[in-house]
Amino acid sequence: MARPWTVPTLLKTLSHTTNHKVRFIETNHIASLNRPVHMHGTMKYIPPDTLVMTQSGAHKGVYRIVGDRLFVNDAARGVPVRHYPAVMAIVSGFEGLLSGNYALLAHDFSTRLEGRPEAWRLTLKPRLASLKKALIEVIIDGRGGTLIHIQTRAPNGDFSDMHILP
Amino acid sequence: MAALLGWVVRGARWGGSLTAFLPNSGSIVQRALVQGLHKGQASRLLLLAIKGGTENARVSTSRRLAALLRQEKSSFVLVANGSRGLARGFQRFLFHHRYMLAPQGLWSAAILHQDLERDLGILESPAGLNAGEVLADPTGALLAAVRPWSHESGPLQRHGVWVSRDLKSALLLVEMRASGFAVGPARSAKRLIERAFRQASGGAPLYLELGGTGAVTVAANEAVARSAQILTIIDVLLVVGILLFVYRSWRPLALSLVPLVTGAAVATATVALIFPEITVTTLGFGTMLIGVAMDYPAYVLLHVRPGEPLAHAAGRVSKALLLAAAAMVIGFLTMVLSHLSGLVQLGVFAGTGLVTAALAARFLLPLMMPVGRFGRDFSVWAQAAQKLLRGTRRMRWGVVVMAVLAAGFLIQRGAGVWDNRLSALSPAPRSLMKETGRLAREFGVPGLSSLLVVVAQDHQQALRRSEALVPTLARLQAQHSISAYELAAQYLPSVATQMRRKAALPRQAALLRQLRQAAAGLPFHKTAFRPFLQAVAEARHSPPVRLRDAPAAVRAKVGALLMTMSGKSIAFVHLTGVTDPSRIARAIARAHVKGTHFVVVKTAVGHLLTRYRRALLYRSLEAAVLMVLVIAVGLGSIAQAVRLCVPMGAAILTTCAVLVAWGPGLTLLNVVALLLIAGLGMGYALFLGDNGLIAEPQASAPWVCAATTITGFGVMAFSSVALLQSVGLTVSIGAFLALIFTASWSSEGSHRAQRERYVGS
Repeated sequence: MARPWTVPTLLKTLSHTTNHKVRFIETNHIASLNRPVHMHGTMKYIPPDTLVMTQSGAHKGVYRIVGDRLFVNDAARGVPVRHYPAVMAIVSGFEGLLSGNYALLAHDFSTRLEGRPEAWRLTLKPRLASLKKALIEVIIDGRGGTLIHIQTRAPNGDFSDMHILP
Repeated sequence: MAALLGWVVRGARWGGSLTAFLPNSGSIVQRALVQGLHKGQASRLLLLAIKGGTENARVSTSRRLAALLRQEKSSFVLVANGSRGLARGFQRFLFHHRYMLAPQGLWSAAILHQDLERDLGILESPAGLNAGEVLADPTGALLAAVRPWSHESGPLQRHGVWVSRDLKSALLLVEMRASGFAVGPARSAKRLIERAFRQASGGAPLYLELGGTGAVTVAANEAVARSAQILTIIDVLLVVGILLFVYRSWRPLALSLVPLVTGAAVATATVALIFPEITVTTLGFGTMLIGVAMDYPAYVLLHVRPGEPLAHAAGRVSKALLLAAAAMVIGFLTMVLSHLSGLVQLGVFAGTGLVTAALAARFLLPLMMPVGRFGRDFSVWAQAAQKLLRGTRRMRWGVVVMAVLAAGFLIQRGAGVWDNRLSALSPAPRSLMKETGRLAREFGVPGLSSLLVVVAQDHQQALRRSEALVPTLARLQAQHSISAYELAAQYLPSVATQMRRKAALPRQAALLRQLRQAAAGLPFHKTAFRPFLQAVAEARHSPPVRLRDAPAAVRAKVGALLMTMSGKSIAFVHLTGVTDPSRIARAIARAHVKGTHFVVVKTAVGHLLTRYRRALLYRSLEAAVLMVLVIAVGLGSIAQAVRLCVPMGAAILTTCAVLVAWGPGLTLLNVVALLLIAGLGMGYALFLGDNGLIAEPQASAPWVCAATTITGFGVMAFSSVALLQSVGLTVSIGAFLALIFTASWSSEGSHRAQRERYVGS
């Protein structure tokens, strides 16, 4: 008998993923700019609450998120992540899922899961008013226990398209 | 008396301000300083430190405590346990008016290009999503506008709350609504905080330390009250002991209390009627002074011959008694006419108390015990007193020598005679002052050691003048002569400055051109700069921000730094971390900004006190002359009056010399105590010699009175509170010397005849 395909089940599946380091290619479409921004690099999740995003190419940089603070390029002082809702989206999308912490995810976002375990789509919409001002939704596509695609849309028209490579 | 004291302490409304010692006269700068100290923000801050326990316990207690205290909106204006972001509405205000509130650099295409490159970096980073509003403010004007509001010099922050540098305490800052110098509000604030702390800490083994002006005021009051209570009890026991020893019977002792109780009751009632609060000085000294009222019944009772009706004895001494009381009242009149609110009340209290006590001794006592049926014959004391008198008379010329030596010593000391430290007048425990200083440094609260006072015709001129000082202040900061400065114009620039900034903003066409140039080669949309262009256009055409339109936070800050006095406007510039006052003074002088005064608080207060003290001294001399005249009139002979006053003067000079030699010098309080001695000494003198005032004088009375006074004030000399100690020492030494010196100059007259009469009977 197949298990019901719910968000908690999805999280459990993902938390069994051993590969916590992935490569990504991201394209950001920013309303103020007349050309898209291309980024690529690696993302590494270190349980329970650390995420390290290393960008190579034209826009080099290392972004380390520990708990609720963002450290840019080995800065000594961290900035609260709530100052950068875009970063919160990545954190929730990536870290939130991999940590398997449903309570935390459900606290910050309303969730909608579509599809089957083999090909699913999770849509996250922020609950907090402050986050709603900066994010409309985060859409995550995956296959089984692997993340494939993360899209983020912002109220001012900006949107981000991140592909996660095997 | 203990019962009376208990009722009085519990029932009456105690209050009082240490600034009662700072007079309300002087130049406008001096008065502004006193007002500023009294009402300024620094005086309303309470500094809290949570210590002990674990870090987590301290942090969570800090959060809970802050939440609890924030509910007490009627008592506290601000409760901060960490640097939170600014309120949203306030941030909007700062953003909206950013081009007028903050100084702008030059806007050239090259500089704008740099700004845009930086913004591009943000937009192209992972944090770039929805970050488009950076383009509304490429020059970072908001940052500049926020800067005065960010606690850059504040404490460290851990887990969102302030902690001390050694990480062992959690720190909170509370701003009271009322001045920290007012005892009533300070005490209730302290209670509120302590109760909230008990609730917030739960059962954790944490303790709270409280510093700041309010805490110091409460501690000072409690120190004096506690000391006064203990001393009064000891005093009562000793005095009762002495009187029992003298009277050998309870009845005269009980009678002696009547004038005292009457005097204290009338004095308290009078003060309660005239003044809104009974101050600490009155509490500390008033009860002691009234102890002097114990002298009056002694003067009456010791003159009673066995079997004689009290009324006769009272009648015999009445003239001397009333003259003595008059002498003391003249002394207190000096206090009443002074400008110091603390002394005025004390003068009224003591004056009414003593007059009542004297009248009660004269008129009430005979009513209570018509005939003197005492167990003992007081002639024993009379003979002992005679022996003493004869002994002292031999020292007659020695007294003059001592007086001359004392005068010489004092003249040679010159200004070193005076102790100018304000701390000498403050009864606060030293440890608390130190703790407050330490906490203030952790918080970066501007010290009160020195500041600038800018006087102007109106607020705008005051703001403009203080703005003119900013280049000099910035230079001083760069040279590390000061670590920081704060002025009202930082929070709300003068209208003139705002207009200047508006005019400096480029017109739309010019700005568009500069932007196009700056954005060349950068991947920005044409429409990306619309919000920026709009903001600048609005700023060029909107009216300047005025105080009445500013948010509450701005009004509060400016209110603490800008005030009106005597039709003039006064702006304060607070200086923190002053290392080199003379350099600052020179730099300010060179700046040539009209109306600016660099004030070193200690020196200024010292000057105020010196001026005041000089005035008090002159008035005391006038009082002394008046006393001599009154005595002369009462005795009907100038020669007799001089005979009384010379030894008194000698006693006072010698007392001063002893105090100066022994300690750090004389203060205002010593002067007050000397007034008291003058009055007391006159009393002894009137009763000691045979000067025709009293038929059949009894020389024992002054000795007994002196014994009780010296004991009473001698006990005070052991108090741990510096100001009580100083007064106690002054009066006990002074009373002793007054007695011996006046005794040595007293006239012999018919004492011999008296002795023979007693021996014979």
